[in-house]
Amino acid sequence: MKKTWNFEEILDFYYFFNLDDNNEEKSERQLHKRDRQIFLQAEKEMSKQNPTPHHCQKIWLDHRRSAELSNEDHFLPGDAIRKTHALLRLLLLIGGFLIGCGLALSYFVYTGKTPLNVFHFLTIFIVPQLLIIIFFIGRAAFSPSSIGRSLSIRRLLLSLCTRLFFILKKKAMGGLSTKKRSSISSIFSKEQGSLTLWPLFLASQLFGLGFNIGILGVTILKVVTTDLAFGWQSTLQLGSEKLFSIVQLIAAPWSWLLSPELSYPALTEIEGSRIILKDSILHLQTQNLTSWWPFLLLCLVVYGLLPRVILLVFGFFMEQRSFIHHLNQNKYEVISWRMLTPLVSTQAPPQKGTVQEIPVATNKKRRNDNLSATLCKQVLLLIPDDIFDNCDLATLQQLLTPHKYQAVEHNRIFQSSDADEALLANIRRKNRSNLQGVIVIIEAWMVPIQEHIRFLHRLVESVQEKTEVGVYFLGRPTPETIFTLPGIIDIEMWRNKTRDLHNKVRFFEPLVTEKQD
Amino acid sequence: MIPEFAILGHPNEGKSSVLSTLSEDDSVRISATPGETVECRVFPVSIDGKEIIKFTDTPGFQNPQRMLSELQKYSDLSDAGLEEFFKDNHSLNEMHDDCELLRPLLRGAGIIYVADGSRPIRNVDLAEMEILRLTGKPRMAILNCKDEEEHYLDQWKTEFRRHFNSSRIFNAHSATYIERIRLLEALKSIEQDWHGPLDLVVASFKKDWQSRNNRTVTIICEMLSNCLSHSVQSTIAKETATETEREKLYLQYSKDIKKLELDYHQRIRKVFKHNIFNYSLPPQSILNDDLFDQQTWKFLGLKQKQIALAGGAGGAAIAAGLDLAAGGASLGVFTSIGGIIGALGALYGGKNIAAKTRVLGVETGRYHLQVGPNENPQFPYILLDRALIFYSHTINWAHGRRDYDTPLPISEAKGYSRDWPVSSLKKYSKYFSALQKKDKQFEKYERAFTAGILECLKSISSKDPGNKRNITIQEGQ
Repeated sequence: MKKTWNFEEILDFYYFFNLDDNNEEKSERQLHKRDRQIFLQAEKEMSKQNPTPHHCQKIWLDHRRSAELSNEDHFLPGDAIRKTHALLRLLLLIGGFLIGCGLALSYFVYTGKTPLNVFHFLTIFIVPQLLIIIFFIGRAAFSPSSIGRSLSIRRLLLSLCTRLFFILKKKAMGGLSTKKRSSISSIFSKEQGSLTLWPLFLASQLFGLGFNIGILGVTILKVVTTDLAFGWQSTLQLGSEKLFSIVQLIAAPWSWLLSPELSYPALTEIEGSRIILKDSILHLQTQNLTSWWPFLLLCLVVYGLLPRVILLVFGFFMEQRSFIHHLNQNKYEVISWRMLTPLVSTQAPPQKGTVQEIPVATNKKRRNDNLSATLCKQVLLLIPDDIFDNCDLATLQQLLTPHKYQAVEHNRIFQSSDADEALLANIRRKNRSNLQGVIVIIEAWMVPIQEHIRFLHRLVESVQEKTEVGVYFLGRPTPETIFTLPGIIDIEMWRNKTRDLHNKVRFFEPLVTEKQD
Repeated sequence: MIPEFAILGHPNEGKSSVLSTLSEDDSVRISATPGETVECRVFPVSIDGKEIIKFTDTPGFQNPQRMLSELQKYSDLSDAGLEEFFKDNHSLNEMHDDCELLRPLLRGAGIIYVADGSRPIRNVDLAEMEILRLTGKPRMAILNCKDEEEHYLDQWKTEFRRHFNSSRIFNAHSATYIERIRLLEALKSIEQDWHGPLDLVVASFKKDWQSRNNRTVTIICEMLSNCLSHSVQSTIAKETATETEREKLYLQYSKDIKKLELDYHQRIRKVFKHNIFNYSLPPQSILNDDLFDQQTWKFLGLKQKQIALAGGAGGAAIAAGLDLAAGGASLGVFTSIGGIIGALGALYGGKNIAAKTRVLGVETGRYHLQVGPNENPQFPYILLDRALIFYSHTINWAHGRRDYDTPLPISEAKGYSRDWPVSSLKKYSKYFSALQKKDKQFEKYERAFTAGILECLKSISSKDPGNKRNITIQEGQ
């Protein structure tokens, strides 16, 4: 996979990104899934372990393009632009060549009367190009932001390119969906206009290249196939020595490489090619008149062609840089995030059935037995092993007395299932007639589990029918006491879970009815 | 075999809450009433479509003492022994539900035992722990303290040391992203063979979180871009707009901005998978105040000196800063939300409102009145602080939490922007200025801004939201 980007790829990238951005049907999750799949497929073929964001973007683009081409209504704006862009470049190259040729041909008209003026050659073919380049380099150096601003020529080229594109692709675009057409149109928005700077710069350099090649070609052709004579003339009293120094200076870039004879004309040759119109040219020697052409050719190559080549290379480098800078925008990073971030799912499949509804229990009031106020029922007290040791029996009795209960025996429960079984067996066995009731103390904040509810069932079955069974609730213990007020919600929870026992258990009530201080 | 973790414990201890928070799934049924979970439910953790590990939520032990008693009759409780126990007892009515809890263990699952550390230990808890110890499976205990009571923690830790490979405190109602990651990493301590998958899960969770932070930054940038460049216009008959016309336009502007802000906040919420998270912020949260309210501008955004130093829109920022200072505390120009002077004062940071209202060109005899874009250098920082506070609320709202009315212990004494260095503020101010002017140069400063905000988000997500308990890891025997 090549590392560089071209203009068409950037446009396709923007097109697909825009399609996703405006696609309301696909959620972020779906896009993540798609892009992650793209990466995982490509990962198998990759040699690199840690791909860069640009690498990811390239992979993404290649995949999207392939996927698009498999659609019936496929349309890749990059492809279309490529053709338009290629056409534009060809036109500019050929146009530049033809203009260069034409200009050169119009210059190289020698009838034998007056030699071709080397100053004209330099002024027409070299100096303007140099001045333009120096101007733009200077402008860029002093005001870098001006590089981004539209120039007339650039705007013209961009406009030409856009029109060409829509003319050529009108028919193809007609069959596309609205979203795709909208996405294509957004490519030509102002925001994307900045992307065209360097591609159009390169295109204009092609014009310059063609122009210089045209001039060079005609010059070489004329030198080889026709009789040319070069001279120089000036109204200014410019001495030959002075001109020789200037020529040496101009030839500095190549004079160290080539021999002096090839690099520039000698002083005598310069002297011998000076044109003074009133003196005609008959005295000027041919050798001197033909000595200029290597110098002029080299000027063309070094000051005309070579800067264009350098600018082309520079333009290519800057184009890549601008593309990379564009792709580095925060909003495009989402593509590499989606590709590089694993798809994590922690959702369970939907639950079947409904939640079991726990109806709110009605308030179970204690049934009023017709007891004398002075008589207390003798009861067996069952206390959970967890609080048995901390249970002050005297305090407990104090709390039971207002309810007319007298504890005659205390036993642990919920120590182990075997111990509970043994206790129940003991109760069944004893079956004492003096036992009027069994009171179970339960910590209401402990969730009612089957084991404890079943114990209550088994207890009720183990005692005689006339034996009263009741449950008193305690709240969460404090460091000072276990006899605390239970929560209403906890009590209701227990009452709900023991609905089956409401006919058999006398009451489910809090033992403590007001806060213990 | 895919590593599986069965979440076991007494009913109503918070097993489902722990799972909901770990898996970031609001839809896990949780309530204060025990018995919500009625069957074992598997929560697979998939990465790129492939199951890596799974968690199994269970209903809770119903007959622990009976089960322990039966289990102790078996001398061999290896996998085969456990299988035999299951076959012998599964059909018994009393044992059926608890045998079902063993199913994940028969599959080779590790154990995560969850207990409420704010209550005393009871015999049923000891029975449950002993049952799990007898199975010999890799096991870890979690203390999910529902209340602030810490008196019983040591009791629990002592018993955990006897029965489990390791233990941890993990409050399902306030667990942050960092705590979730730490819990997952702690799971590695119970079975060495599972290091690989757990490492992968942790790495993926971290990448996923990072990706979500990145998305949040993008949302914040988009919000700022839209809010800072937003303006509303209306046509008026005369060159000088009336107070009514200005007020009407201002109200429209503020309504638009508030709606934009709300929409972007909701997008942030969605990024963090909060589906049933009722957007009821804590009652004391400053986000409950209006965006253009005095309180908001007092406590959020930059201090006056910071505005001047940040530069913002150059001289205009300094002038605005000085003007704010001249206006006294709380900007000095607010009267009420509806008050045109105060409201526009917030917009323009100055007292001379009429001069600031732009009347644009002339077109077919009509004039255009425009409010916005907001040039006040404080405005983007206010928006930013509010977004960051909202992010903080969102990420700190554990998925296992259901008590929407209970406030989160998040400090909101000031916004985040006041802690940023001046060098960063200068870059951000240039970014905001470019956004306001819709200048393409904003791209130049965007990278520095997004990097800074990303760091801020990372810092927020790694902070403890106010949980007083230290998170400890204990290695059991």
